[in-house]
Amino acid sequence: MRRIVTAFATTVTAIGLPLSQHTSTGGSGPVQVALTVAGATITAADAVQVASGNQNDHEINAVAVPILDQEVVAAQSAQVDTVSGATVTSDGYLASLQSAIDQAHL
Amino acid sequence: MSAELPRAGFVEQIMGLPVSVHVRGEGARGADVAAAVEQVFAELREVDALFSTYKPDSEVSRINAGTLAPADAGPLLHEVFALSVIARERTGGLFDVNLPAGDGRTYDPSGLVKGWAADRAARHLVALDDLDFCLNAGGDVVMGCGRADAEPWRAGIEDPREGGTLLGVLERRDGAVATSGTAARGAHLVDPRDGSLPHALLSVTVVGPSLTWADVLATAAFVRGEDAVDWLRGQVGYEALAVHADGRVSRTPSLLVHDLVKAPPS
Repeated sequence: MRRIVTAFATTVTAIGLPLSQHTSTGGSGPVQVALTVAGATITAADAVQVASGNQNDHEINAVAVPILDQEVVAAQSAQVDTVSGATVTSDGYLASLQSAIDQAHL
Repeated sequence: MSAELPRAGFVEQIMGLPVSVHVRGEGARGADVAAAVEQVFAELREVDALFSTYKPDSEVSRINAGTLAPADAGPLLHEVFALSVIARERTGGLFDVNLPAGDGRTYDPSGLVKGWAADRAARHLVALDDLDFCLNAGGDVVMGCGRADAEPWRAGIEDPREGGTLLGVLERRDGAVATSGTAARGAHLVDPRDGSLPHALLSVTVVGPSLTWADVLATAAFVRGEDAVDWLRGQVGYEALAVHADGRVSRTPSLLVHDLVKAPPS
């Protein structure tokens, strides 16, 4: 089953980068991710549309997309129900493993 | 995870945090579950309205502005006042809601409120018959299994050394997992005793029966530093795992961590 998920219209600044190393405030906008779901398992994830308001966004998205894929694969391989980590803010949510797990069950 | 078992997930952004609720079991996609989850979210929004330091009309902001006397605050604030005193005592001052700010101190119970609010809101999910739940508030987790034969929830512990990867997996049918660290938002944890920034650890994960206390103890242990895990051995019912700044991983002997992505040198 392939589902197109429009993720939260939240800041994409932090995607793929530890916030501690990335402090600028970038653009924001919806991010569409196509998830291929078999049973309860995500087997693939591809960003099909990313925010593109300004040059900064493009730079961010170039980083964000491949890293999001890796994260989904990590979530799949670990087969976890939830993730505990140092406080995840709404801004960082899209890049989180928890986000990938949530999308598989919404 | 059982693929055929009905499961439903819900997410809302509350208190600046992603709050996820997952429910497992027959009826997970039913109206009772949706109503209970909405009660959870509504209650967390109410807590945010009372305790947010970002909202000028919250009771906490009015206390800090001097326009609300603590004695005149509502019952939930009084509950948190009491818990704050216990938390400071229980941690020997490593956890304190009165944080150094400039020449004085500011009242910021945020570090206590998140875990406490999630713990409290989870009672709406505990009340669901024959259903399992898992509530995750910004990386802090409370779980329960209402099905007699339920398999445990699998909670991954994020590796602070490498974002998006897991250090290992905890299996629990109920209880709480809280992680404190600086990875997700940069340095935000200060030593309440002198305002310094702890740097010995990257993260501390605490597992135990209550999210309120797992969260407080994780924060306190992070501030404690190098011997955080030894310090936590004195907290009955709680187990811990710490990732040190130099990459070492230490944990309480009884803590079982499964399927490690990278075996910790222990």
